[in-house]
Amino acid sequence: MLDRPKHLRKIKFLNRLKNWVKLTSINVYCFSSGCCGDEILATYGPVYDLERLGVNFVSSPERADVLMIAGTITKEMKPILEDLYNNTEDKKVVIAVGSCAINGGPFYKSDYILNGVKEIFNVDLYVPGCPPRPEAIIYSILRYKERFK
Amino acid sequence: MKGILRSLITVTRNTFKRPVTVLYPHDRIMVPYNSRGSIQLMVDPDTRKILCDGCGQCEKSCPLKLISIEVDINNKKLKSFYIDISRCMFCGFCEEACTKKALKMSFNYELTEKDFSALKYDIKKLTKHARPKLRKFWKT
Amino acid sequence: MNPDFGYLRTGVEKIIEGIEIDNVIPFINRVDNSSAISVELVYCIALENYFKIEVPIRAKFIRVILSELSRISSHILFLTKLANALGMNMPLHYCLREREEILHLIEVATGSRLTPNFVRIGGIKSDLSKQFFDKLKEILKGFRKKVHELRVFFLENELVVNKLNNLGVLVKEDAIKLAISGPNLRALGVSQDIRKNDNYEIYDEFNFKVPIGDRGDSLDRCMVRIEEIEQSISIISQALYKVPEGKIRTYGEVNTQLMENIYSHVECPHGELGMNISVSEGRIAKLSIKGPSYNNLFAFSKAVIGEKLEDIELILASFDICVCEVDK
Repeated sequence: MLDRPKHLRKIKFLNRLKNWVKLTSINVYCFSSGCCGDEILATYGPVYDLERLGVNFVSSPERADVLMIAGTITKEMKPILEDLYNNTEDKKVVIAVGSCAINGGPFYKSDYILNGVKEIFNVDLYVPGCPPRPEAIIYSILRYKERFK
Repeated sequence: MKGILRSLITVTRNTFKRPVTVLYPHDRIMVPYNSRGSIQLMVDPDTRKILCDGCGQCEKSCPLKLISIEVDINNKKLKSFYIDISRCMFCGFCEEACTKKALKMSFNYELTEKDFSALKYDIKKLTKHARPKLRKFWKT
Repeated sequence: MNPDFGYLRTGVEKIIEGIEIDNVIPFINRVDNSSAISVELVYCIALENYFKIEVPIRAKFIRVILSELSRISSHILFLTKLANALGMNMPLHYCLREREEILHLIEVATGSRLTPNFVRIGGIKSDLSKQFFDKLKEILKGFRKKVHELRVFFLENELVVNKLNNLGVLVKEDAIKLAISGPNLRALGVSQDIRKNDNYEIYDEFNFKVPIGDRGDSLDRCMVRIEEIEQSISIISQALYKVPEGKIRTYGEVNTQLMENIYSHVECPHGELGMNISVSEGRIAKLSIKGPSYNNLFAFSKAVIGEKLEDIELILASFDICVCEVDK
């Protein structure tokens, strides 16, 4: 068996270190409205403390690893969301929370509504529920962590 | 002086109390009995077969028309049962409409998926978390 | 300052047209996210008054208890927004902790935390168990003390009082021209409450005061809402010991003829919520919702004139505007 070059081993170690760092500090940018926004606020509270899992709610999209999009998505919001997506990092994960953000939800017949964020850019995790319980939102973060293990 | 004493008393009282925070993946809040989670099909306790016979009451009552049922014409048995959970608003009208109590909203709320196509539930997925229907032990 | 809206427009009023009367309720309770049960209540009261369906007394009591619970949760959400705008982190967490208890009570009763889908035409969906009432008594016992704790955070703190005093003053004439309602109007010194003036459910059986401010600045708006939490706790504790046994729903005959412009109004946490319905052949022909937040938004743009730029977020939080309800 041939020996692998040394610098490759170094890269492997660096990748593992990067994954470990990403596990312990996750920067989340929330774009929320309506009743799903109230549930995300509840996860920030003391009962379901999201910060004990290493989640940081940041206020600028440039620093975010995770984009969390919740609530109704209208056609007027489309340029804002595209701008938001282009400003974030290259390797990011998009989570769509609530049935409105997944597929239009109860208002899908309306003229003003986009059928979910999946029409604008690709979504990695879907969290169904109208609105989902705060535990369901925390569970989606746990699923996100599985990727780095 | 009074303020310091009062704060000391509250601190000592709170150290022996149970903390408010729920450490979610390890322990959870008990969900109330009538809470509306994902939909499941109930199973007969003796024969382990699905109770639903495809009468179509839930199909009519759904305000968004998300349920689609197919029935064999010869056997009058259930062929396929699909629910599009991605648009579901968990109103519980299908549960109210079912006369045989074959369809129930379960406690399960961990529904996160990676693929969009996995959000359309078929019979296999609907009976995954299903428990047998409760029955009375003594027949009256 | 002119508000620019339309970013959250869902068009609920248009989608509903042509849907059967009973299936409308889950659509319209998404209009107001902080107290969904009051929207259901307006719709059901309007149709009950027209068809002359008599609601059983037990159902009326349970409706009152649940709508007051949702009023408490909405006002606590207002306090969290205010604490966030003031930059206070500890009161924010205290408010969220207390709100969680009320939301748990609503979930035990109805099955969902924010969108209950519980009120039906002629009564309610399902009866409440004895366990719920025991739990409610247990939580209400300690809740007065917790509200007093919040009062200490906001109204006995000199920094907060000095900041909120004389901030965003609304003139009485402007307010009446813009037809605002609810706690924002009561902070000006106008005693207008639909629960007292036009007692729609059994609100005349309870003893409660309507809290009134005098100047109409941000401090008055905060004070009125904290006072209202205490009043609705006293309403619930009076109602708890009066709930009679009996039926919970009457199935009255619903005519299928055409009828137009049935109107009813209700005091929701933000103000007066009205609904205008016309029905033909058992299906909705037209439905329009008159929300209080739409008027309150214009009152905010009047009150903000002459203030510093950094205080705008604080004044916006003190008006308690529900954005879903503005655009519908």
